[in-house]
Amino acid sequence: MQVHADYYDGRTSRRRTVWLEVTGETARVSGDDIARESPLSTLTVSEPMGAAPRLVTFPDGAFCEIHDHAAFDAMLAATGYDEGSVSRWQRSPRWVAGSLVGLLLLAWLGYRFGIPLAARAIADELPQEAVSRIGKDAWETIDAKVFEPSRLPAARRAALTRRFDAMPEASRTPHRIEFRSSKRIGANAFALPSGIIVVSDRLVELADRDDEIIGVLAHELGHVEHRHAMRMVLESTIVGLVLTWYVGDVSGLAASAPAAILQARYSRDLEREADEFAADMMKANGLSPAALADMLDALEHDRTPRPDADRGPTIPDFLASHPPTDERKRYLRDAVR
Amino acid sequence: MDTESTGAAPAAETEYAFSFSGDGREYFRIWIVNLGLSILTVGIYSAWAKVRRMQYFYRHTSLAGANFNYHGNPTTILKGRIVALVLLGTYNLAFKISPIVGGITVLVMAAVLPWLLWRSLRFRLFNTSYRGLRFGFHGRVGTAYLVFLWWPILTVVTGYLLAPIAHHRIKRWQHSRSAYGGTEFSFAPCVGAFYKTYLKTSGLSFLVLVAGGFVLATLAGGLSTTGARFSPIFLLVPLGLYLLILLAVVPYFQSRIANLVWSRTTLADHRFASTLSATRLAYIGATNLLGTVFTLGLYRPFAQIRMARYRVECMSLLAAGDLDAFVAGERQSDGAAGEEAADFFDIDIAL
Repeated sequence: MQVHADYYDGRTSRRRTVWLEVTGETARVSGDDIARESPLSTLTVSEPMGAAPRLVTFPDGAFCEIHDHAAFDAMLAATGYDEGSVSRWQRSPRWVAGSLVGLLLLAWLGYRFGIPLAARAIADELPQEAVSRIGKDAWETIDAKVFEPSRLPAARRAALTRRFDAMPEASRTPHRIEFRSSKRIGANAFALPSGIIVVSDRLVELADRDDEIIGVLAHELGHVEHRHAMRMVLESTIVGLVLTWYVGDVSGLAASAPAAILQARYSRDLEREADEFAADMMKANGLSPAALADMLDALEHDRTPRPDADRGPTIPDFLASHPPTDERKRYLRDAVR
Repeated sequence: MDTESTGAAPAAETEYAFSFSGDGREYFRIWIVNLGLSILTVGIYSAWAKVRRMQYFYRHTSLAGANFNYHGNPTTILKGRIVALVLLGTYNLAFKISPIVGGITVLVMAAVLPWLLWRSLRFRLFNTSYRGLRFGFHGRVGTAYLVFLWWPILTVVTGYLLAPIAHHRIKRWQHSRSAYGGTEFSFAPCVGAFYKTYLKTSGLSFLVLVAGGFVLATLAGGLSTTGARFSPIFLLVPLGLYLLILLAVVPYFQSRIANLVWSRTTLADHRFASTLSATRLAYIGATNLLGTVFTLGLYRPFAQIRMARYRVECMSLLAAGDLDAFVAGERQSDGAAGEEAADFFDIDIAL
């Protein structure tokens, strides 16, 4: 069997038109002033790749470029050539369809479970100082710009703080409660990675009884205890990395919008975890988790625009980045039993 | 005729157009199976996938009846990928821990990047061959620091007035220190032309920003329902402008620079020509982006083939005589750490 080929010797760019033929276990190349032989076992054949020429390479780097696919395929079949598994898989419809389905499934699993688990594992391993440092500078800036000192009586603030800190869970997790007044954020509370828990005056005013405020503090302590801020940072880093790798040449822009959307889902999971922590903590201290549900009720009814409030951009409401409130209240009221 | 070319065309020149025979459907199959395997092996197989991908694109590129080839080694590439991943992860995390750690990380990366880019140039070129001869890059690592660190700093410090010169220096270094076999490429300087292109691009940017900004702001105002001054809809205006710049101004700039740079590049007595059209490039880029977004990314392999085909087929070689006279150069081999890192940080320094 013979096939037409272009021969290059690897030492010059000269193209030689040759015939490549196989007899027994030997391949022979013959053409204008070139004649050489080589045992089949010493030659490497390139993978089939659509319209690209096939390459038969000699041990010294010289090779034949073959454009006649039909004749070459026939020659390969006759000599028992095995193209390799991956090459065959690439051309099999079953493998292609399977890869597509498998890919989508794995991507979803990785997103839903893999990344959160990895983030949790890493966050738990980090030393406390690293965790505390995140957001420290941000807090000092926000405190100066957005907040004013609390207008609640000092005794009230001290009493709430003392009561909360007396609980065993509170002494186990380093934290500091800060009360602040702010027209912009309304009734709100949030926790920083460094352990600072910020509570707004309006939230305290809205509560019917102290247990409700304790519930909110317990929820925020849950965020601190489980290092949620660190986990969110890690999750967003990993999601960002994966999207950057995938989207590649369309630059960071296309990756950041989907990243933000994907991130929201992780927030809701962490909020649920904080609710569970709060329910457990309250029950352990003889309080009813329903108190937190009542607080959520009060916060929901407070979501009317205040005429005296600044009409500038507002920090998201306690309820906005959290799971549906009805769902949370149901969970908390059920946890009483 | 390009009025900025270096001289009259010599007699008896043959024009060979580069051509690309890749097919989207065929490449999609290769791409998806390789992506699946990469994920199953937690990314390890990705190095082999990359070799396959490069071979697909190179072997489907032909010139004067012969095709290109890629010789990258998968294990070397795997090592390079691990280095790149560590760098990227560190960069992302560093800023979130504290500005100081972030600042130190940036300094370290700035120190290492020129070296990585230099390695990337050497590796990419050495692993490319045509008619059995390897390409090569003979620039020295010291010049890499001059060109990728010193000149950019100088540019920023002088308010970007030196940007065209800095860019020109990069291209000049890249092209004049590259070689095919034992023959070096040459690059005829054209700083003036670079300045002209930068000026025209600035003018275009200004136009796009003003006109685009006006149109988008009006649209946003019309769509906004609350009438408040800071409705979130207005956040879309800078986003829209960014997209306009990316999809309209960047292709203009890229096509002009590429065409200019190739018109100044020669190899022995042979010349090159590049005829990229800004509008066509913009159109392909925009439709590729739309396709990729609306298919949740599955269109990407088709997009890559489409873009590669256009870029390749706009290139041609104006050969003075036959192409048989080149001889191999000396052996040169390196690891791949540079190439992967440069890819990861989205720096396109392709020849």
